[in-house]
Amino acid sequence: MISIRNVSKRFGAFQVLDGCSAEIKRGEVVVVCGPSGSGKSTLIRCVNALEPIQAGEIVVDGVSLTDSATDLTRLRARVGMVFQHFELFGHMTIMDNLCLAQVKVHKRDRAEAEAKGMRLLERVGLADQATKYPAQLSGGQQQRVAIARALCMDPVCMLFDEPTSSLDPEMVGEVLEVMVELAREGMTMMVVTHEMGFARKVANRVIFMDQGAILEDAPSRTFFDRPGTERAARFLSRLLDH
Amino acid sequence: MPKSFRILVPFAWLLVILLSPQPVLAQEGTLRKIQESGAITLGHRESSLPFSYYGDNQQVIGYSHTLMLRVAGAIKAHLAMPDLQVKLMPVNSSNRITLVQNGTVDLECGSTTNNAERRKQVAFSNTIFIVGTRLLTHVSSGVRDFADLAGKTVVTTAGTTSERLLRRMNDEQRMAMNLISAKDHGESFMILTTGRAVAFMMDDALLFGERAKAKNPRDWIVTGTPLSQEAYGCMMRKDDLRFRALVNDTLARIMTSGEAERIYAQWFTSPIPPKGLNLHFPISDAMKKLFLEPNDLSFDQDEPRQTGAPTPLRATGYHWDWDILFSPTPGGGTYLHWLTTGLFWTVLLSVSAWLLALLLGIPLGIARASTRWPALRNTAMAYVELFRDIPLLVQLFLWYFVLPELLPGPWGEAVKGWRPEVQQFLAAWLCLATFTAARVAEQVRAALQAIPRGQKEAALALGLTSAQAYRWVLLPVAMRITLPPMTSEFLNVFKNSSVATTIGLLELSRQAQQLVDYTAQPYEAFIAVTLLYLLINLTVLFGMRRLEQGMRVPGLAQGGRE
Amino acid sequence: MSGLDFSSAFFAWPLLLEGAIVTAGITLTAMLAGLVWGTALAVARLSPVQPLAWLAALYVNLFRSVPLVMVILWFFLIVPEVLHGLFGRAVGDIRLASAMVAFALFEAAYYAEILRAGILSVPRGQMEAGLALGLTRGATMRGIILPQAFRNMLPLLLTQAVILFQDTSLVYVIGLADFFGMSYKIGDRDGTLPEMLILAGAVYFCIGLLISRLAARLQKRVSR
Repeated sequence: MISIRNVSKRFGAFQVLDGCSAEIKRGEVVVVCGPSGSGKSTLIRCVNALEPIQAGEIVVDGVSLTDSATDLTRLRARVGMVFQHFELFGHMTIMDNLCLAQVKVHKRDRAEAEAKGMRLLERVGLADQATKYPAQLSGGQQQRVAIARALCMDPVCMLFDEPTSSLDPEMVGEVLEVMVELAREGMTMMVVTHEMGFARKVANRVIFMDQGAILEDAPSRTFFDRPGTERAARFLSRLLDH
Repeated sequence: MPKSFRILVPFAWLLVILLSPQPVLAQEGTLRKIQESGAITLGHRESSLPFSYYGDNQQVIGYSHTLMLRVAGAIKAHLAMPDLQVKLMPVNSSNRITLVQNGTVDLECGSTTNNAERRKQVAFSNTIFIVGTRLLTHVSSGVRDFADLAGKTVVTTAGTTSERLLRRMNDEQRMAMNLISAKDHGESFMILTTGRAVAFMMDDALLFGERAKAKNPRDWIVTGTPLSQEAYGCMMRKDDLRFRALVNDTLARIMTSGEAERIYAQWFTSPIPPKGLNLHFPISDAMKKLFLEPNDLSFDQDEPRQTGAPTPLRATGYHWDWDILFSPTPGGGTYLHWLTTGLFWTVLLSVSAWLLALLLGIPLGIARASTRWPALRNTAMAYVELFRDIPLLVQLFLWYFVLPELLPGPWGEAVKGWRPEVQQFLAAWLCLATFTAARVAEQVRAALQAIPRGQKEAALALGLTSAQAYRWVLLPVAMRITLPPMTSEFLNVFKNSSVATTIGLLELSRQAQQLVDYTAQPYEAFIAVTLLYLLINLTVLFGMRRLEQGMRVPGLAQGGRE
Repeated sequence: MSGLDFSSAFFAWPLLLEGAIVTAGITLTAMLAGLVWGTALAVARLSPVQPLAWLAALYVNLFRSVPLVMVILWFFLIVPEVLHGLFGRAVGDIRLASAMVAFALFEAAYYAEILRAGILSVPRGQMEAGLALGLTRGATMRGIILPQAFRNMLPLLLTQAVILFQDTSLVYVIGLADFFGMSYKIGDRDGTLPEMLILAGAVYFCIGLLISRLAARLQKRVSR
């Protein structure tokens, strides 16, 4: 579904990604982790072509991102993305947030879009919030709306960029619950997160990154029980110590 | 609402000023004032050639100026103050009366016609010059007399008797002339020579003076039977008989001694600075008679002339006269009508300039914030810097005076052939709009850059195109952020529109100055116009606040931030 | 128009310099006096003493709603007469003085708004921290809040200075020969008005550009 082949990227003299390769198959849930500044967010943003890459190739659902003939807009419409800061559109109601891209990109009519939006709001447990504005919702609620918004586009896979990092601890659970359910339904997911509990519970594989390079790519059980590198072991022990 | 109330307070404040007992202008006598302060301030003109103007090196020279310096010398002798400081102060047609009245200028000898309206506000000395009002035109224009002006564009200087005569003639004889009122004689002449008017009506001696400034004086002729005769006098404050007697005695001595004739010859029949040209304006019989028998005869018949019989000296204060707004103007209608006309132009100019500024400024602001097209971004930046870093006044002059000269020949001619109001309005409109667009662009850029980058990425991640992201997400958010600063930019447009006064558009502040010229009641005119500006301000603020409330998003603080 | 003739500017440079000095004088006076008075107004507007806050707001709103041209004319034509009546003192050539006063009082209203925003941009905790350390309100304002407010608002203050610098050309309406007025007069005298206007525009542009680039650079540094 997603294949990352030997991708490199630099900001000026700073090497952000250094020859990264990974393969994610349909229905797989892959967690990307690593210390801050390791390039994991950059990697996931490259998969949605939000960041250009200088070398290597990324192919999503058979379409190459690096091919200049590729219509990035159409590709992005099929890849759902959830951001750390939710990025709901503050001047629109929740329902308008859900409908905007359905109407503008998929050319659905408004009633159809609203019906779909309402179904997904129900699924994330927020059907009663449809007419409110984002600023009236809690962080956890906003992030669930953001997931529903991405699902409205019927994505072939979902990218999560630290979806719980800017949430208050008591709200992390409600967002993870939605994500777990999504994974159980067979959605292909690539998730950048520090939530090791989530990784242990649903991830098929864990990718560990440091200093722009992928150091480990292992089934999650293997990664947690017997990390292959000293760096990953240290990272894990530090996370679990606290 | 409390904030709106707060803005209402200036009205109350002004009322307090108006109703409080007015300070009486202490009429201690000009001579005593001069004695006490050790200085006399003389008002002179800047481009009334050859009466009072700048020669080389900004030195004031001229016929009237020479006479005025003689009078100052006589005052020095009379007061036995050899160290008396003589200060010079430039005045123009629009402020000279006010400046004499308010004590800034003690004596003004330039090219001021002695007439009844002005005698109500100031006193005049013996006549120093007699002119006829005639026309200056290009030799090939075909204009030979006033009758030829029907349907043509004629320029004259604001605040002069010629302006009034021309307006009256235009109304009474239905001549359908387009009249331009320029700020001073130099500007009037420039409007003539650049082809924006076919003729320049003014006092003949001044016309000869302007003609001498031309690149090729032989191309221009002074023509037409004088529409009126005018007597120039020196202005001073009213009811100061001692001072006036001293001025008159000095002038009479200069005239009867034959010195005046020599001064005349120096300025009217000999080469004069700055270009060493000779006006060839021989002395008239009327002037010869004046020099033999100095007097203060003016040529307006409707008022008994001053006889010199002593009027009782009394302390005169400012005469408040709000009825002046409802009294008729020379051209029909009331002065209040002038103010509403001014209000109309100010609002029309400001609102239309604002619309164009938004039309230009929003795309410029987007281009300015663009990360993808450096060339576009730099072009927009160049635009913003260019229009932001040149004073509005300079830009206006460039649009109005310079641009038509730089256009290819026939285009420039075509532009100059338009009706003067159209030219003035277009220049002011384009100037204000392009200037404001630069500011709008900066606000839009700042707002777009203040939106977190994630918002655009989220829109793109949903599959929206860049254009759709702007249209549906970024611009609506930016608009809410910019609303408060845009409100003050909108208010600035109204305020900046007052700069159009300098090219003669009859907007609000120009009307204030014209009202002062005609009525010599500066307080009423300025207070009325200031109140009108406050009214505009309040209206806009109220409207924008309504808009802001309408656009407020629940849960968000004002300005779109969380 | 065949060819532009810039020779008059060349020969008239002492006059242009004289004009430039007037422009600089007004700009600097108005900037300094306006900054001091504007700071006082901004602090007054945020003062817990209601009448004071209210008076400052009145002042700021009044000056911000009237065109500068009108303010200059008021201070040239009307205010001196009132003062004259009140104090019975003779007034001489007050063009420069009246322009300086008008600009200083006018600019103060604008500076006050910028500084008010600047003071509000300093987190409230800073004032509380100052008070907690035992400083008085005034001392905290002077020693802690205002320096930060100035720092944050430096780019905006500079931008306003560019506007002020350009606005000084409006003294043209009272016949004061600043740089622009002098250029205009020379152009009028020598029949080279278009050239002198272009020249004046270019000079203002260069100086304005210089300051606004500086402001942009500072803005970047502050927001970093």
